[in-house]
Amino acid sequence: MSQVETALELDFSNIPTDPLERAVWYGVDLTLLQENLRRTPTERLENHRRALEAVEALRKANRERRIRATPANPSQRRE
Amino acid sequence: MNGGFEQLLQILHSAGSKFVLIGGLAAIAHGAATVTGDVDICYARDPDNLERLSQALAPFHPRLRGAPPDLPFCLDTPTLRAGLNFTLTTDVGDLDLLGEVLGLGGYESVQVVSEEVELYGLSCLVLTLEGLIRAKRAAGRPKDLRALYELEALFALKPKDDQ
Repeated sequence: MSQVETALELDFSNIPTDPLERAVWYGVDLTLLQENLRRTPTERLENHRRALEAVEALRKANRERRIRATPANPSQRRE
Repeated sequence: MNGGFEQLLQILHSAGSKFVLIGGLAAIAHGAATVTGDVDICYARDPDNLERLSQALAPFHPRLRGAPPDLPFCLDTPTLRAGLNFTLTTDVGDLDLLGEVLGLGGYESVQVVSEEVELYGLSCLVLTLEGLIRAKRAAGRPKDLRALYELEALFALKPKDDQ
């Protein structure tokens, strides 16, 4: 069974009642939360901003890769 | 994509506008490991605050996010008065202005469940974890489940004297 199929079979009638167990059950990484709680609110926003910039850099690189892979002249396109 | 969180907060703060930081950025300020591209605020709808907001944002060319570029739009005081919730893009990032928050109400009610948090050296009102949880529960959307469980976990993890 694939991971997607397993995820779709989550049993919502049997959700853990403990908030920490429930979060883990749903895929929340508690270690990230614990690390964040050691930071100040501004540090948390800055950490997030850097993550966002990394995502944007990846998106940009992917866009540029697609543009380079697309022939400029339609006649060069493979059938 | 929004890297201008700090700038948007400074703009709103230096204008003396009355607002509470809500949504994803508020959750992140509390420790959530989520990702958001915009700043969500709940704003006071008294005439003075509408004026402050519109004047503060005007230099950054607020326009309706996702609307055709040629759609006429001016975020002035009458526009703010006539509407309630606005999803905007500006020169410094995306900004959602909410007159009311589901499950909480308008600014006066939201303010009650907010706390002062220092962000980038500014003292900002930020919706509390309890407030965020109430809003997420009220929204009741399947896509919010993860965020809700994450917020509840943060509430459980936070030292009790911080709650």
